[in-house]
Amino acid sequence: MRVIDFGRSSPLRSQTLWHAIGYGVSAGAPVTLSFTRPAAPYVCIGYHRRIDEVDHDYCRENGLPVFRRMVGGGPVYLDAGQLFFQICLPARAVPAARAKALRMLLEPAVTAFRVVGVPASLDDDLEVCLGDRKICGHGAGQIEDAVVLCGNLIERFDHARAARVLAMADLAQRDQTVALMRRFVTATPVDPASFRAAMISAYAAALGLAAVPGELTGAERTAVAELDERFSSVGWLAGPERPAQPAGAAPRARQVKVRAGVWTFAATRDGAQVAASVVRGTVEQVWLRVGGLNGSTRQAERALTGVPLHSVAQVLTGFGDPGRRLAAAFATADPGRL
Amino acid sequence: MSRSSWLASRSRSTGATKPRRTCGCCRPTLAQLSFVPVGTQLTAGRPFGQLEAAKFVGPLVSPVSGTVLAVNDAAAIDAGLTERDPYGAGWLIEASLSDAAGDLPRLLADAAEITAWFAAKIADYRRMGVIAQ
Repeated sequence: MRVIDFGRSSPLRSQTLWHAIGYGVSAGAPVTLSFTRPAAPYVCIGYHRRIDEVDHDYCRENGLPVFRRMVGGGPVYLDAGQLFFQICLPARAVPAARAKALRMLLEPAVTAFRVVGVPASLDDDLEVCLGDRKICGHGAGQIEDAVVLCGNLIERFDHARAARVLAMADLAQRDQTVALMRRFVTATPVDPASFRAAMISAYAAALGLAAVPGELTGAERTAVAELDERFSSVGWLAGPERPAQPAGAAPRARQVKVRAGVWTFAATRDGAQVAASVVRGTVEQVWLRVGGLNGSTRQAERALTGVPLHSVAQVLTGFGDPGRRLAAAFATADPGRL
Repeated sequence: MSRSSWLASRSRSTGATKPRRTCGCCRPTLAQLSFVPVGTQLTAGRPFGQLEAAKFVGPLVSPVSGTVLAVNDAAAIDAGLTERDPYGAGWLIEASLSDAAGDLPRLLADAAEITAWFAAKIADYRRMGVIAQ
């Protein structure tokens, strides 16, 4: 197993270096575990996600570049308080079943956390957790004939900024998102050198390979240059072409996932506005604005708190036409899109 | 039928690839789909798009060579459609075939072949612990 520690990298290179390894492994380079730490903060968005999920005005004003990666997941804030790792293997060495593949690729990271004193576990949603708090963001993907999984050791985490880089027009949703991030995402400030050593041992043992320090091949260095150009282009940042919503289709709620099973959304329908946080299928916090409820808005918010999301419409039947319009707004939220 | 897609022939030279359901007991997790543009040349065994499930982005592999004639915008907007109706409204792309004589004989074609292939896949998944029962 080739091990490459890139140390501190520019925001762009902290993405393109390991993508280049993907192409290298696809072409026959050995299984590779790599590490890097971004030298400056930036925002990175998953391959399929809509670019308008990022607050570009905020990012521009605060000097945060935005890059699109080739693996999955949503837009995330990255900075020097996070040590990133990537494990890259030939696709044929990874189970075709995605859940099995992710488990195989994440379990050594869990082992490494435990070695450095963090009693981490891999939950049923394949999140690396400490209790019910996520401690490692991850994404995975196939680059030609290689599979890569990337994740991070979060030494420090700026919850407010991680939420602020996301486009959320509704301030109630932003507040709810920050609150959920503080509750469900946490840093584990262990010694990064010890963590890196534990990662190398854990992945080498899991894959049955000897760890050998290495560097990029010539072809990979060429790929880095090509990727630098690609990832800096407006076309790549825009993402894969996607068809427009059909005319007359219901507008979709703005949804933000905090961790598996934990998310917020904001929606407007027929003049009714909703912002809500959902934890494992249950509405935890809700903010409503709709004409016609008169003094009953707080009562409706209380009635919805603790209600399963699928039962919201039933509860709102007790609030007449405003309740019907609020139910229509709730109906635009879809956890299947998270 | 190929590794991960279903080919329905409309004539000797065109077909639409649709995802095959290898495991009806798995919970649906398909989050995103994207396709190459209409007019793209396809190569058997190479991608004609990408799918994302559980934060894993992987290729949609073409079972045939040819040219993309149409893509299913409805599936790109709502990826879940391919899980709800994989052999109907959840089709992915329509393509003309450039090497039907070479490509089609390599695919699983009759019920007995498909049944045996499916049983072997299920056994593999059970062995890997992906299917509990």
